[in-house]
Amino acid sequence: MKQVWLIAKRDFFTFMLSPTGFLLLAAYLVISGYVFAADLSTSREASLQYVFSTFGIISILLIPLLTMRLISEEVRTGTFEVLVSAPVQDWQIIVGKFLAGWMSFLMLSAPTFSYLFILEIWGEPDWSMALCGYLGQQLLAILLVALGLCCSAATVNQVLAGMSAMVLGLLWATTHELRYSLPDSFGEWMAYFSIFHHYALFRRGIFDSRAVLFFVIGAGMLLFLAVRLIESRRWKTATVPNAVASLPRYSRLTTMVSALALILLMECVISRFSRGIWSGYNTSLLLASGGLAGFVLWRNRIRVAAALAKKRSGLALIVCANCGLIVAIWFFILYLSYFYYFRLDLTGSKTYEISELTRNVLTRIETPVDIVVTITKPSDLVMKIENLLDDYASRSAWLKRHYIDPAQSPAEMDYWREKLQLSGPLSEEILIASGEKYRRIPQAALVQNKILQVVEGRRILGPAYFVGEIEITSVLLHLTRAQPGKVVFLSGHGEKNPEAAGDAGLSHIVQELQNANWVVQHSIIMPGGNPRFSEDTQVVVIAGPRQAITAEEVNSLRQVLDRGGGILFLPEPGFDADLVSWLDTWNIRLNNDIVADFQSHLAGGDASVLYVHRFDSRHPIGRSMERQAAVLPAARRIGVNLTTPNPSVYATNFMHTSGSGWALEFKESGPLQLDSQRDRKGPISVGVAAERYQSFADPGHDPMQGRMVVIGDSDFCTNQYVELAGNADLFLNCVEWLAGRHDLLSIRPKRAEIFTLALTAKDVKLIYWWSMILLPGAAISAALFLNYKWRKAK
Amino acid sequence: MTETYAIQMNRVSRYYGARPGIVDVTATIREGRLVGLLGPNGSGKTTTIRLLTGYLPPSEGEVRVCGYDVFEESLEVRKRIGYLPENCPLYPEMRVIDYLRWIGELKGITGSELDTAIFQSLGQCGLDGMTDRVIGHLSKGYRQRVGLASILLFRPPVMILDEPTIGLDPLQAREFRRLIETLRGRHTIILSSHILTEVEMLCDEILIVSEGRLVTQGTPDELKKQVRPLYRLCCKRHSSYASLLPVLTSAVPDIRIEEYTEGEEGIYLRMRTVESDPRELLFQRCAETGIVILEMGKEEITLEDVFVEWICRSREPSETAEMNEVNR
Repeated sequence: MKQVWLIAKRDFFTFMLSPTGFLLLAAYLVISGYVFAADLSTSREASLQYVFSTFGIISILLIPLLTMRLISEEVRTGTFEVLVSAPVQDWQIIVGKFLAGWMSFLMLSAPTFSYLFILEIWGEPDWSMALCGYLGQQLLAILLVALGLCCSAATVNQVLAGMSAMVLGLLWATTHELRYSLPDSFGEWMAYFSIFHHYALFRRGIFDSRAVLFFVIGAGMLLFLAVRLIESRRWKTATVPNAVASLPRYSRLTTMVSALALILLMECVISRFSRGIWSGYNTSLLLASGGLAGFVLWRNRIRVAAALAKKRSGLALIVCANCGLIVAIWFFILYLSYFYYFRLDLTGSKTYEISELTRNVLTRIETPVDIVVTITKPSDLVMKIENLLDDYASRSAWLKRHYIDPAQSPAEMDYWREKLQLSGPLSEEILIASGEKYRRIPQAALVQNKILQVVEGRRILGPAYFVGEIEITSVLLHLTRAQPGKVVFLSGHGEKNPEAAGDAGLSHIVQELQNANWVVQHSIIMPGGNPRFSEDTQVVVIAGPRQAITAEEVNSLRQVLDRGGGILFLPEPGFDADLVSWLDTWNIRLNNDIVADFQSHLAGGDASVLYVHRFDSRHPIGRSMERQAAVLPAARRIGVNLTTPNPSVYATNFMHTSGSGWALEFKESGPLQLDSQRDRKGPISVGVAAERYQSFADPGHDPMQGRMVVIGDSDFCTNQYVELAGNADLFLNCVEWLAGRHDLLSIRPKRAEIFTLALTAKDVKLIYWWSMILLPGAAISAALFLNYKWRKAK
Repeated sequence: MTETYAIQMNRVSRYYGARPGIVDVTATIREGRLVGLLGPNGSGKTTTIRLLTGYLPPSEGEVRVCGYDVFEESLEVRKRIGYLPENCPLYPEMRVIDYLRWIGELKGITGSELDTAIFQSLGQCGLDGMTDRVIGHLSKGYRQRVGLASILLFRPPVMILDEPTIGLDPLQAREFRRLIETLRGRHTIILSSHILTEVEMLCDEILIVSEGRLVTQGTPDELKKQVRPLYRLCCKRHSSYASLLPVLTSAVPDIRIEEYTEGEEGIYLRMRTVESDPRELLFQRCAETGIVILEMGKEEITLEDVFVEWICRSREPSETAEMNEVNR
């Protein structure tokens, strides 16, 4: 290893102590600094994922400039002869050169680490995601350094080495673009073979064992190839056989058959692109063409053998055989890794980890499902869809993906339209079909805007984020579940309106319920009327009643419970709807107070806008919310009756504030006032779930007679707040638990969490100065200084 | 017996595709000899050297250095060989001391041993006081010395110098020769060169290669003895060269005129014969025909004569073959 380090050290220091090295550094910093500052000033997003996206392209263009001289320059100047006449093995030279190239790139990319600290100054970046991005950048670098080294070993011309590494890198990085023009499975493999396909995972915060293997083994393969290339000068070669000279000219039959094979091959390719699908016709053309080519080779076997025996052809054959073997091994490992892998979501919010719900839904699929994607741009969205579906497909063998470019494959579009008898033509969308049932997700539905803040009732929208998992999982749920459930929203007592689209309405959560295959009904009761809930009603939601609920109505609710249904009761502070005594029989105690948490509350709101992240994992709802939080704007305390409990009811408080929470005296208006003598100190329970059994002897096995969940706030599920933190999950998980659908009691697919920075114009200017002027300026100064020193040196 | 030979080449050939680099070369070099490798451009000198250093493998035959096969035991050979390629390639951005330290460590010398080796080789090559200079700023002569110092570091049993004095001014070349002179006997040195006087001055033994073949090998004196002597003749200028030639050939039928010039005083001729000394016969014949001889003598044979003679001999068959080809 000492020899390796000696070679690496010399090349590395030569590069880094030369003006050229620092000029390259300056160029790299100017480009990446510009991308960073420009991206930050427009999106204000505390994330480097778009910067990393640009890093990918820069690396492909820049790394060949680092590697092109490594071997070709030494061969050209003759120092390579000195090197190989020393007692050093060829692999030591290659590994040393590789380390030098990689260390040079590390030096170039090290200053960009300061971007993360800039984000830290003005906001809270997702460190684990950013570090995953840096890991991806370095893995990309090792592959590209190895590729550049290979090109440098193949030619003595530096420019040629650099250009070929760039072109090969670009081609390799973009093979996923071929996905739409090739038959399904082949297209998928071409996408899997793409550098950017794997690199994109890292920059988005996903650590995937397949991507790591792709880069590491790919680099290993290229280094092996480079060793073979420099070793090839030592291969023993034979002299030229004279057999070829005595052979007659190519016969007319050979010429004609070759031409025919070529024509068939061309027809195969042309028909594939003109008709848009790969059919049996194409396969037979390909086979016929291959057969004719085989015939030509067999007829000219002596000539082929003679050509192979020629020195150059012989060498080429050996190199090709070596390359072929190594590439085959690499493909085999990639193939295995495609099926056996692990994936870690390193984003702070676990954005890309496939949700528990999706996992549950996928394991329940037992019929073939076709997913047809006709979206071709923007590429970032397409990549997200591809990654998501890759993950889906790896978990369920029933899923089959089809990527179609509408412009290139109209025939395939027609095929799906006719098969499913679609009403309109397919546009840019995702079509999911199972048997004759299908659902369509338009492109626009895959992207939504995140609510950043709620200021005086107005929602401030952030950048668009990807909700593909929510949409696709919802469709899968619809297509694969036999019976939808039914939720009824009680109204007539001043409850929140499930049909209203305004801030106080519940239309968003209703949409979520429908996505989760619930039929939602709105039960309007005139004052004095007696509601009757149909037999199939599984859950009744009472969201923030402001008037008393009559005894008849309570009776109707009891019937729902007696049938084994559930009630989700969300009382607001100050309004108990005359249900206190009934709830008492369920061991649930309503307290007339308001909860405040002076430490754990939503930024920008007062202490009563609770940020609840303590859930009791012993309860299924609490367990499902363990890694999440809920925002409750103005909640009351919900307690468990422990003094005279009803023995057939088992009530658990499953969510509570932190120790710094207080239950304050409720006042209609005015600021919150803490009286530490009078008020109760936290943790304060704000949600209770209760189950009633025929007896309490064996709670786990007795027939259950209804469930009830009471949460001391109803605003959390309104349109204004439902998208904050895990509010939607809290609501949906309560409904699923009440209906006894434990398998779907899970964390739903999440939106990409976006951390934003609050930047003033001055801050932006400062960031521009740092990343575009100061950092590159320092590099240029170093280059000038080294140049001066070089000229002054004796 | 193997150990007494530093280098053994047994029926070695190397082809570059169809083109032969060297063909069927068999040679041995004893330890401690300073051997000159001579040949015109493209004759196979560099190929021979590359085969000895293990940079290229032979297409056929076997090459052994210090008893080790250069192909099979390449690392062992490389530990015992110091190679200074043509034009002395060095890393121009490095300082002399850094380069020597780097190459020393690469060759496996470390610690105080390396310091001593650097100190000694710097002194040997006259590089004291140049240690902190950047190689790229050194003159050609000093760069050659740095190259030599880098191979002297580890005292290799075999040193191969490919055209080491090319591009040096006469003074630098002389100093370089002195330097090599000091190494005589301690190392087996192979010196490839175009400069015949240099080889003649330095070498114990000479190998001449031409057209990829080893045409001869021996000490300078042995080689000189193999060459037919050259005679000079100056006749008074009253007859033309055309009239003079038949007179000379009639006296000595196998005479070959190598060179003639018509000067102020007369005609100057340089000639060879296949066998005996022709001077007596020529004198008699000239006296008979009235040709006045101003000067006649036997010339001292130089290495250049040896070289030209052997190169001409090696080319003769191929020239004949070429002529035949043209005529056909």
